[in-house]
Amino acid sequence: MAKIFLGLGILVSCILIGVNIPQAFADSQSANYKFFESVLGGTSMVDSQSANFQATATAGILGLGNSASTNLQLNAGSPTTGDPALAFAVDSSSVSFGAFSAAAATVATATFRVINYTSYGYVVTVFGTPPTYGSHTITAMASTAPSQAGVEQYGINLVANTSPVSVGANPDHGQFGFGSASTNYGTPNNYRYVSGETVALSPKSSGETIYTISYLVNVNSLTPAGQYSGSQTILVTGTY
Amino acid sequence: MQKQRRLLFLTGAVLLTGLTIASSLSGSVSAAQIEARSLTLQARGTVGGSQAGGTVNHFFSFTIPSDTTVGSIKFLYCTTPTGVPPNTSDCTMPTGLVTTSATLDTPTGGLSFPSVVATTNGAPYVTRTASAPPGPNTAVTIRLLGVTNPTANNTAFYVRIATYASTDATGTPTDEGVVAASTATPIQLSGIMPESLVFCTGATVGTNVGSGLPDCSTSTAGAVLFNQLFSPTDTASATSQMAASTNAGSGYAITANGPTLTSGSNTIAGMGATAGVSRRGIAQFGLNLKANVADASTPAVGTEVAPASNGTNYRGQADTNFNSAQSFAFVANTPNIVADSAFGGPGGTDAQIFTASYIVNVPGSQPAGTYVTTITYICTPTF
Repeated sequence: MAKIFLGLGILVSCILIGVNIPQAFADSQSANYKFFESVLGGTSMVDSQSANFQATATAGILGLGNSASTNLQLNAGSPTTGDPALAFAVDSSSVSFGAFSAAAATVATATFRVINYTSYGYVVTVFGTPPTYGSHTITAMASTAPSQAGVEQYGINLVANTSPVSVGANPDHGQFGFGSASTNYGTPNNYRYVSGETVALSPKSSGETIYTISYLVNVNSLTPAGQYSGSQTILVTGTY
Repeated sequence: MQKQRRLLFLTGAVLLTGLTIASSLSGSVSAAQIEARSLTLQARGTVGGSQAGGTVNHFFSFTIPSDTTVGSIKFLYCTTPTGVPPNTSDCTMPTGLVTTSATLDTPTGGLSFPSVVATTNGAPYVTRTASAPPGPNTAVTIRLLGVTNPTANNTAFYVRIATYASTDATGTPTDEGVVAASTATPIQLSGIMPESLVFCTGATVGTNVGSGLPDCSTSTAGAVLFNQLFSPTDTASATSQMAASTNAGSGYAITANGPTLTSGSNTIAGMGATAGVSRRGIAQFGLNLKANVADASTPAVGTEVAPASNGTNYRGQADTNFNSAQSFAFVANTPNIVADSAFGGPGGTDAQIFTASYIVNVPGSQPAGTYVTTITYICTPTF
């Protein structure tokens, strides 16, 4: 019992002397214990559990015993700060499609993750050009549509697909995430790409959500031969 | 037991001290909170808005709650949202951030600020002639052009926004708020479109049953017999077919190569490089890629290229000397350029079937025998 009090005391002391917000996504864990989103400080997000015990609680300034309904969200805990907390990481710096084929679609994936607290939510937008070789650019899918082999298409979505092959994953909300794919990019087996559009969003303060982008490329028999390349920039904008 | 008591006392002391400090800090805030605030990192040219080290535009949008004079708004870029302890001026500027070249975009609405002062890196401020209070909950949008993002990838940074009554961002802030933004690792996409050429020849090349498009898997053997015995009073004819498609950017060229018709040491002369008409009683061996209409000395033989060229996905065409109906050409042992994919301009093309029509005329003195030749077609794409 005394050890528990001592542990709590040390934890609170750490917070009060002002530990900064680290941009870390790695969770501390052992065989019997794990911290989810283990950030201490103004945006502490601590979930504790063992084999027979689990608590969603905060040891920091921002309370995170989260209860939510469609229109209401409660972060239970000690008083919160107005400071924003944003952590954003793109896990995949390169995406290789290999060889394109007019006979079948080519797919690839990339992941990114977002944590954004004390906000009115966030939106994720994607900028960039489709794969390009010389003066030829793979045609971007201006409207949401299924894959069609033999027709030039470049599109993405942020959900799990079964067509043209099994690829991608639905947003992983973990313990506290509320992010989701936007309407245009959230229909399985349908793809789209318009640079600058919102591809994902959270309508409210959200813990970590891991997004998987599924990329689709179809070419036709006339697509000029060559090494195609493109660059995508993902942008998260929170409103605080 | 005594040890446990000491631990309990220590824990209680730490908690009490912490709560006391927290309580004192919570009472130090005086400025009102700027509401609905956001920072959007906007692309500038081809540079993505969140690209680390990229020179982009920073677009701020927020609402000022206080109904007081606003002479300037300062944007302080920091690695943390607030100082330690909170609401102090402690700020470490993100590495690589450059704001000194920032300019101000033309305001599009809300409270207008005509100029930006960006002399201090990491702390630009916009200024206006202070006038009457704008009213409560005034919307403000500020777009700073040409801000160089921090250079660390996947790293959040914070901008502390503060309004001032003064025009030079000095004095006590009226309202304050913090926004967060993050750089992100750009995702590089790559893929290879392989070079493609599908070319086949045969006595015939058929079409796919389902699509109706040329299908090289249906091509037959290349042995071609003329429709009749050679005669000085009639023209013998025969056909073969070939199909070609490529994604070569400059398209393809097809040549016909080989000797003329030969029987032992006897030959039937080729018609030459320039297309000419069929003439009975004269030694002629020639070909073209057209649908020929029967006339006094030409049999009805051959078909046009199919599907017809349209200059977009079908670009195949017969070359000049092989592109006139009822006219034929052939030079022995020399590459005869018979076709290319330049209809509407050189480029890749989907599969089309060419039909080569061969004619033979012989003089009355043409030695008897079996005349044969092997014509080899070569399709060369240029990528």
